[in-house]
Amino acid sequence: MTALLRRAALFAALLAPPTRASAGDDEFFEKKIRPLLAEKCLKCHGGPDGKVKGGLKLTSRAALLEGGDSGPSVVPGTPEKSLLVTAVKYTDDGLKMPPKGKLSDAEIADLTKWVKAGASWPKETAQANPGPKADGPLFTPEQKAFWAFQTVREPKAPEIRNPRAVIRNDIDRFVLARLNDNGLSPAAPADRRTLIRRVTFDLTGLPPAPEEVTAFLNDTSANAWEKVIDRLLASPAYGERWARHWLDVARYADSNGLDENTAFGNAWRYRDYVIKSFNDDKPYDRFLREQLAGDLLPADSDDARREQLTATGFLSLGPKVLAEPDKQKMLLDIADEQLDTVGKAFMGLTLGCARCHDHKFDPIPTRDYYSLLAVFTSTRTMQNLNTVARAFERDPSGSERPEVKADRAKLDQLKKELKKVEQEFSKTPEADKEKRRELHLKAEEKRAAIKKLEAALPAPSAVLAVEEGTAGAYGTQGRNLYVQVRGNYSTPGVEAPAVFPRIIAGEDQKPFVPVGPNPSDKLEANKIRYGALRERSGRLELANWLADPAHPLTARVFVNRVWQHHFGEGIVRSPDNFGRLGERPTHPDLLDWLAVQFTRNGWSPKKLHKLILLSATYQMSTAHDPKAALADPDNRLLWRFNRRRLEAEAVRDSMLAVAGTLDRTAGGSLLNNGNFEYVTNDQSNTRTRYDSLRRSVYLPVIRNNVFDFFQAFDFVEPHVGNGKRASTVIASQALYLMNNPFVTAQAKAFAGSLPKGGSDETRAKSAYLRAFAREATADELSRAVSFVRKYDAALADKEPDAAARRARAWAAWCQVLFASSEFVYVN
Amino acid sequence: MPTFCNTFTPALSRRDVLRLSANGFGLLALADVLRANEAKAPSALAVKRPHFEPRAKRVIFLFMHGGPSQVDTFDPKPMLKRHHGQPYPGQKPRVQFAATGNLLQSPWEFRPGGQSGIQVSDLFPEVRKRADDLCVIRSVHADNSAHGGALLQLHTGSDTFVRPSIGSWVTYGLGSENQNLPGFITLCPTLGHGGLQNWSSAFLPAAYQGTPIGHSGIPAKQATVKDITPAAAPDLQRMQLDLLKQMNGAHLAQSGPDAALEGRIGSFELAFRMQAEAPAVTDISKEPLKTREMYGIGDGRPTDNFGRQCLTARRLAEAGVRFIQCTHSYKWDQHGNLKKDHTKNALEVDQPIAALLADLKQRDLLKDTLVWWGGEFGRTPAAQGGDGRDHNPHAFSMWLAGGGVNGGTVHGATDDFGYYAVDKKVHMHDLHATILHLLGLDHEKLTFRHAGRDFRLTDVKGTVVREIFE
Repeated sequence: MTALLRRAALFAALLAPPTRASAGDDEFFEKKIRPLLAEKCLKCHGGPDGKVKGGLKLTSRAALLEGGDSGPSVVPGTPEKSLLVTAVKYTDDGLKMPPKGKLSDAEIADLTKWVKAGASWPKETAQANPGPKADGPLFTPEQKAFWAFQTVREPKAPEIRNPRAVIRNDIDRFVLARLNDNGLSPAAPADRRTLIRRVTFDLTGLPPAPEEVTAFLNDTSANAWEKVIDRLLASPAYGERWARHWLDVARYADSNGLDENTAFGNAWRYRDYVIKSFNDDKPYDRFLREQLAGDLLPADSDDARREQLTATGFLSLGPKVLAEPDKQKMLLDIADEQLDTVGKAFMGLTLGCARCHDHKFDPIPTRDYYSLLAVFTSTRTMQNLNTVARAFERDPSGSERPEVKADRAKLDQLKKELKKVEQEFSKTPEADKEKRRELHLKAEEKRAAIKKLEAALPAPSAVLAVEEGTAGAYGTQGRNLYVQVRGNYSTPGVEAPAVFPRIIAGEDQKPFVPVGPNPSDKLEANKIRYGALRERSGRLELANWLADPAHPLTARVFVNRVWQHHFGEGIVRSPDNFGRLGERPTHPDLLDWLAVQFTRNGWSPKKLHKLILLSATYQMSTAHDPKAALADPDNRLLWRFNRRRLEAEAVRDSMLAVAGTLDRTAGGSLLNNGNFEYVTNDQSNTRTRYDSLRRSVYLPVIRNNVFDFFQAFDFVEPHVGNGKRASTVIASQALYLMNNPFVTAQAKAFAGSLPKGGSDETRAKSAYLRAFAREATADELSRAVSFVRKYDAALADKEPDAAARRARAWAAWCQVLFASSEFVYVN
Repeated sequence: MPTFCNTFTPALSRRDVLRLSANGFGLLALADVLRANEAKAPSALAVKRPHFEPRAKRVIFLFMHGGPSQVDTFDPKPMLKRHHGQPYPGQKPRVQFAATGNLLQSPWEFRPGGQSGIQVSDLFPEVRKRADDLCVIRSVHADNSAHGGALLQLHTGSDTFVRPSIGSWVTYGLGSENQNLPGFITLCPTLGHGGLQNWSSAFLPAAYQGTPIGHSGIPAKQATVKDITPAAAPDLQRMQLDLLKQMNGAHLAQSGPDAALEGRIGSFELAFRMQAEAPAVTDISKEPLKTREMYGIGDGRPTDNFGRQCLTARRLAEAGVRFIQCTHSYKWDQHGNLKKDHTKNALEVDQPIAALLADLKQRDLLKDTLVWWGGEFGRTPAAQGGDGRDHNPHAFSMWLAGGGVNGGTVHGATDDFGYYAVDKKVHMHDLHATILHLLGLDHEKLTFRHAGRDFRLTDVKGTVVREIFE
């Protein structure tokens, strides 16, 4: 307690006349209540410290009646309905005040008495800190004017007079204009070797093959560059690369993580869906709709239906506390995780921050959060909420071809028949040898038929998917939620209607799904309070609202992600946060221009790539410029191209590709665990293996135990969607490259694949072309040759076999190439 | 978005750090981090000034995975004995992990220990002798009654979301006293119940990630740091590194100034030294036989595994590691076989823990090393079967020793049966706030900006328990 408050309390106590006071008296108030409030409550509720926790002030009768986030704090005359009394009695787990210790019984009795007597407050004028009433507009003008909520309009590309650099498309005009304003010039164009290495990594995550480099160098046609782009965009490796970027955002994993780390045995189908979507150049608005509401979209074929169901795995993949004993909390936590992921992935908004209180920085009132949360509490994500809970799966084979269906029926029939025969056999006395023999043969026949049929039938393949909620599915029927004050479901506030975030969709909205009265809507202790019945969850409506070209965030957020992966930094450098605490766009007009081109081109990711890659801005070199570096050290104005370290997957895939060991098999699962089996347990045993030679995107992603190579090289933390990876330099990376058996094995394979005949120089030359996409200099060649000779000599007393010695020396040299900065960085 | 927005003043520059690494103690520097794009940034592990004068400089957390029973260890309940076999007279929690039966008395006697006379059960006769070092908090409580959630809350403050571990927060706040060692090391951690999340730096920079040595699936004797074993003989690897240095140098020269590329060159040299010297710090064979005996180390002895962890922890503490965790993995979960298994578990850790306290004290390290003992929750006074207890997050005992806490004291109390903490309750958030405070960190000021807001270990909660300070 502050000295000031102490004095106030003392003062109040001294003022109180020494008469017997009754609960309705001014004296009683001044003697018992005001000092009590001053001493125990005002520090957080409207006192001179200025704190107003929970939106509640205890500074006047009016303030008490108005209450805070939880509603009115007193109902005069009815202490049992007064939150103030409930709170001080410490009977409600979610509401205990004061938090630092229960009041004495006498104090509680005084407060109860006072409320019962009508909660009179004699000297209304004596109240401390009268605050403004919260009946102003919902949003401030600043919030309404915030850039990210403004409609995207197509800006005109600035005119550049006497350009000092090549202009290939409007992107360059936007960039040059800002450079010009700041007296800077763009770097010169990069050479062709640099360009093909850059773009090949960018689009496929793999190094260019030497013949691809040569072809590009020798192509004198005007559209040589465009041909390279088209070739790479058409390669299946493109989808494998760009799917991984999206999987970061989608917090993709093959296990649940968190408390109970059980396998998502079918998650890979979602991963393969994402790869296919990128390779098919699926329009992004479609991609978005499928992931949020694929189960609700019409499907014109079985394949389409399967694909759309698989897409909703996006919602299922989140980490969940599977042994959560409080099932209502679990239901809400799962929905919260989904909403938060959706908010960040598609809108760049941290909606999850508005669960307990209005968003502190962005104009997302708690009510808007619960409006959307109800979309997901009205969606079935889980099989059930038992301990340990399982995610829901759907088997799309309901719409299998008729002949497959018929075969399955036949199989069932055969199994029944077999059982019958077996029963008959067991009943037949052993003496009746003939009959037994006959039955035995019959059974064998059936068994063979079953075996044959089973082998021919496609395995039933469930996918992680959601469906519209029902009462039977752990109480997920479509219903509005009430705001949960302080994120606690046992303290419901106002009902949240079915509307979209009001800062974007406006304050005057009709419900996005039809709603009707809910006869069982009532306040019950320790239960989630649900409001009006929704005709449906509203998932499809949410998807459609987001996929509208007029949505101010959807296209901006996506083009920014694509830009970031091409340039190393986004136009907005916080790709998952376009809110107030996020970064502002470095080139706002360019961002909007790209967003307009993107939606106009049918939300085609490949057209967007091509537009960006054809710009001169993308083709700049990484050359250092001391003057520009001083003026703009972070390269926000794009005076050069950013040098980048390869991501974990690209480092590993490059080693495999260069060593010639990369297995290009696409799709499928490498998980060794059965579906929903534990992937790690308390004894730290794990069956997960990472020794496959396939592309990294196909390796299992195990939450709580991420592949150590990935961990060392800044793989995304797969519990949380995240569109931007760190790029650290740590000693464990060096240790990995020096000592890990994977690296030494690949170096050995690389060495073994170098040309057998010919000179040492030829071998080194070939290795340089493969590892760095360039010719080795004479110096480099001689250093290589002398290293191999020296290493060979040093092995003399360890390895008697000359050929083996030579091979080891070459392998050691190849390992150095893998560990080199040139190998893991792209200019 | 800033990925590193620490406001403390660094005491060492990056260049200092590299120099130190080159000439100094030269150990495993797993986290000598030079973040890309931060040309002028100091090492993330540079020593940072605390918010105020610290009482403790480092923490050793002895984690008893599974949930030791408070009423059988540090919280004697005579009423439980008296009402043995009768129903619990109070209200059982609204959310229970499993159904429980009637009250079950403790199979162990409690006796006073030390001058202070703190009551400790016969499960911990050796630790009882050190009672005057202990500040037993009998009123700890938390929110989650399942192991996974409880482990996550214990380690990260949150049982729902992915948050940095307390060891990561501490290292982020204070840096490390040895630039050649990770600031946060976890010995033989479990991969279950949150696994990596329990020592993860989450959104804090990777430098603050806990470095695991071994894991609970292998004996402590075999625990090593990943990839620390050289792939080739030193002279051969030196040849590789010389060529690499030359190549990377040429590449850097061609690229122009680039902190990441520069840092990368240093990282290989560091790694080379580390792999030569890292085993030294975890190699306890150089310790005198007497010391090893004291910790109960010896093949086939039940105390060998935890004894090794405790002794290694002391060596790491001496070497300046900021946060060290030992894990007695998932053994304390006695839904049944309470008598037999709690006896076995306590036997495995009692002597090593007592030895650690004595050893730290004789080296004058206990005064600024905070030793923290406990599990993810306690157990119910009500029985499961005839010889077991269920999970109970509503009351459990943890103790602190050294590091500026009042030894020989008991703080808080549970109800007559030990079901709920009732007096001077200490929530896990409060304990976290208190531990940070002992280290000189204000839990409300130790924040990190991520995804649009400032995060804290204690979220929006936590009250420092000042009564237990010396």
